Amino acid sequence: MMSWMFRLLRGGRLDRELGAELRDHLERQVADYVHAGMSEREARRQALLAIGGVERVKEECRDARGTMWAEQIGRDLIYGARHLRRTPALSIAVITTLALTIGAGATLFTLLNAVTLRRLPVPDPDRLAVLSLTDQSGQRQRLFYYSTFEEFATHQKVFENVCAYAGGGIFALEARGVLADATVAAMTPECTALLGLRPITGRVLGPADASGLGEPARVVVLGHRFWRRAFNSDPNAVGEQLVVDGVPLTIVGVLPPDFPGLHVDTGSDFYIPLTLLVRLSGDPKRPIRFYNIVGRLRPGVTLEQARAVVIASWPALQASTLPPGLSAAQQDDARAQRVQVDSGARGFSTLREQYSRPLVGLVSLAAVLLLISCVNLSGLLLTRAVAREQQFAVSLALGASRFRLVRQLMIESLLLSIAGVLFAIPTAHLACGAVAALMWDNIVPLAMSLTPDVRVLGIVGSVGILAGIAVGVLPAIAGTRSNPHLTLLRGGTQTPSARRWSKTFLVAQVALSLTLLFAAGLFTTSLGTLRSLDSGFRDDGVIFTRAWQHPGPRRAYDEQSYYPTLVERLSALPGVQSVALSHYFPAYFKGAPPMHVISRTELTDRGEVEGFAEFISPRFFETVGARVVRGRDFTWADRAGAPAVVIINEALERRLFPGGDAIGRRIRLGTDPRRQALEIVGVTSDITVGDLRSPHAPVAFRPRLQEPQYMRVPIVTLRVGGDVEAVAPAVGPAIRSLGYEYIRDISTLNEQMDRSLIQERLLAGLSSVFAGVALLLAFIGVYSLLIHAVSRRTREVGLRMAIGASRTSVLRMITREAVYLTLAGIILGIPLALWVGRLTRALIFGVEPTDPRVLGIAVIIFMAIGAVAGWLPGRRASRIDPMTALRYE
Amino acid sequence: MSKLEVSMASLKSDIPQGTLDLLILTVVALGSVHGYGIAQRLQQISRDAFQVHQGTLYPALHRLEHRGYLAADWTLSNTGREAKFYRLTRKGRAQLERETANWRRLSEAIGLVLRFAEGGLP
Repeated sequence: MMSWMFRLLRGGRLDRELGAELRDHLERQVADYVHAGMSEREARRQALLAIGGVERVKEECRDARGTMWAEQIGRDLIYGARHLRRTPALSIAVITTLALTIGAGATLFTLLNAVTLRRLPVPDPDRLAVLSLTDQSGQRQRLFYYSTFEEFATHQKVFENVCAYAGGGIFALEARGVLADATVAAMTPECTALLGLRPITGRVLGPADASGLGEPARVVVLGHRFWRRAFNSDPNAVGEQLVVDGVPLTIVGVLPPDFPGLHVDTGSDFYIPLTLLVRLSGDPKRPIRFYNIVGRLRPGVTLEQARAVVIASWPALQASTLPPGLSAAQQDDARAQRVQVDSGARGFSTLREQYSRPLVGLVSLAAVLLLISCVNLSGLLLTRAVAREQQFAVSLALGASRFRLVRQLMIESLLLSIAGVLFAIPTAHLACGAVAALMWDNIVPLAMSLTPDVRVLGIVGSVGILAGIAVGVLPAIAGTRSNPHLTLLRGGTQTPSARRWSKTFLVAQVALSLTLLFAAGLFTTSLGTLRSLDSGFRDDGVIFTRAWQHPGPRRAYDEQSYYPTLVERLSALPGVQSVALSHYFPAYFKGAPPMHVISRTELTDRGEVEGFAEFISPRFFETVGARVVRGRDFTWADRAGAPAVVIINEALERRLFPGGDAIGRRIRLGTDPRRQALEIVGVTSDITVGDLRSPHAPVAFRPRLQEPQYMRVPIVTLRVGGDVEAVAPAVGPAIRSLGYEYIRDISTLNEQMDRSLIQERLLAGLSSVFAGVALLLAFIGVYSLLIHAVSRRTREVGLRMAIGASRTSVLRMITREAVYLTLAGIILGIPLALWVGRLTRALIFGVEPTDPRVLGIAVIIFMAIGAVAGWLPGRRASRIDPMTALRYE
Repeated sequence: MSKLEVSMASLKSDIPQGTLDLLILTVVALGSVHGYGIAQRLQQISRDAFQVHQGTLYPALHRLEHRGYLAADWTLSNTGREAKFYRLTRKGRAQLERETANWRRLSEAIGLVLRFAEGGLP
């Protein structure tokens, strides 16, 4: 290693010595020839002939020394860079294209990596498993009872140890007198060792803080982000008080910055014992329940084995450990629950659940775009390589090997792609933040790090280099294939093989671009369909917010009088037409609220319908723009103690009361004993509940004041007559002035609608941008190929015109070539597009993945692009003056 | 090239693949010598049977030097110019012995086969 570097450094001296040695050889040979009787001149000629090319001998000697490649590559790099600088427009075009397309891919891959691939920063994350419960259908999450967990922890054999973990909720905290919203994680002490948590200051939660169901210590461990935010990273924070939901807790330690908690989207701001969480937020009389059991697999046990064992033993365990005092319905539900065992390596993430599929789709589209740009650039570079054919021919004739020329060209394209990657990575970093901001809609900032990590940099770097090779290899080979003698004789016309390659590239490019355009068309159509769905309410002029409770003792208020006052106060704000409270609306656009079984009270064995329940105040329908079609709206008199009433929507009426005689009849809503005989007082028009995709789902509406569990933390919706912006700032102070609740943010219904469609908007928006770039590249591809052809065929065109061809026929001739090329691409592209369309099925709504209209439009757009890209060079050709053209050469 | 030269050239054979190194080592073993000298010597010793191209000689010399079989010094020669003189290193001498033995074995073996093919048994 050292020796060749050394030789490289003194390569200049070695080269001079080699020159001297060969010169010495030559002189001796000449002397010998002269001695043999030749003339000095003839002797020198013969000697030179005998030695062959001096340069060639030198080169082979350098080769023999073994430093050759390094020297040459160094020289090739310098030469390549110089050459690229000489054609700045082309170089910039190539670098920009690569930077944009690699950047697009890198952005999406960074997101995909952060959202779905990145592992938890804990020791050996792949050995972590997460247990969760669902209802019988596997759709909705259920909770573990603490008694079940204890029994499981004692008797299970597949995990080294297990712990209970809950989190993700948001609490109002008071840190050093400042109110803040923060996310909680609660755990049993075993989690500390299981997750390998170590404090950066103070201590972590331990067995002393909570044992079994005993009274927990009032302690809290801070997450690093919250420590920095609320305590300015002050080490003295340990020992201070943190008021969580009105309850003062003692801070005992701080976790390191790289551990975000298992809820990787939001991160966890503070960690408390599980039993303390129940004291803070739950009903202390109810059995302790929590979301997840986390376990570390015993060595030698695979996740599949653990899953099989846990699932097999679960029903018996669950049945024998149900806490006392459950209703029959609760017991039935618990017995029907199913346990799931999944890998815990990546923590919990709603973003992952929501976006893995769209992101995989988008990364694939970005890969297609990159492929298109590689094909396009390959074509461009081929044109350039062909333009340099003369130069290559001279080099070949002078004894350069073809390998060296190919390497020279490859180094140039690699330089281009490396420059592209260098621009792409910062671009991706910026774009990534912007896209994540769109995806992440939460009052808590996204905790996930979106900085490209080693994996992203490695993959993007190698993709970039592969792209460089892919772009360079065909131009290098096709461009240097020619026979030097022929090329020198022909004087720089393009070889037929290079031209054939150009055309092949172009056809491939059109085919791939058509695929991209088709996919973009599908996503856009899907978004359009969703937007045009009749949601049942009027979106304009509606704003909404959620009223959160102030922590602590200020929580004691009488809902039955407070909420009517709140609504009255807000209705009195200038510009407000009506105000309503609800529990899910309109936040549920983003996820479905729970389903309930709804049935007619007098029928015991049939007529069950799965539907939603919503808990509303009077004037809700008026506020959101729906109407009560029969019967009456709720009033504040429908309160606790008054007869239990319900309003159903037309969809539910159609299912339960096909005769339209619902008013006055009674229904059951779920299994809650208080909802077994609800009198129907009104029927309302259908409004979208749950998902926008199911506009006519059955819904039963209940008055809030009759639902103890749903009375507080309402969503407040206001219909505004004039300017929304003028009203919005007054809402927060009005709610706060009553002293019990506060708001965190406020938005319009339209914004909420956009947010609920973010996945579709991302897909439609990004794929359209990709398709746009692909169209532009296709246009450039066709145009540049033909404009080159025209300049090459000037003489031919001139000749044609001189013997009587009209300008129109020349124009037609050139345009026709473009159209034929485009057509070939389209014909190849259609099956490819249909195949890709099939893959998008899960991501589109209201449009078939083989939609002929979308495909037709894509084809028409491409034909138009091809025609225009051919017409422009055609027009130039038709303006050729025959006389000038014939004198051309 | 005259007709005569062409026919002369075609009579001369190229040195068999892989034996050039052995020949060079043998020549250099006779004493320190420059590149041109090696070419001349090879031609003379082989009674003009071998044509040594400079295009193969010099790369071979540099390869052998690179491998440490040959060492070179720039010395004032009888022409009055500095010339590069090659000499055998210890490593080169060992290599020469190895190669020579190899070659002997090989040529004996080939001789045997040829004689056998001509019908005579040894």
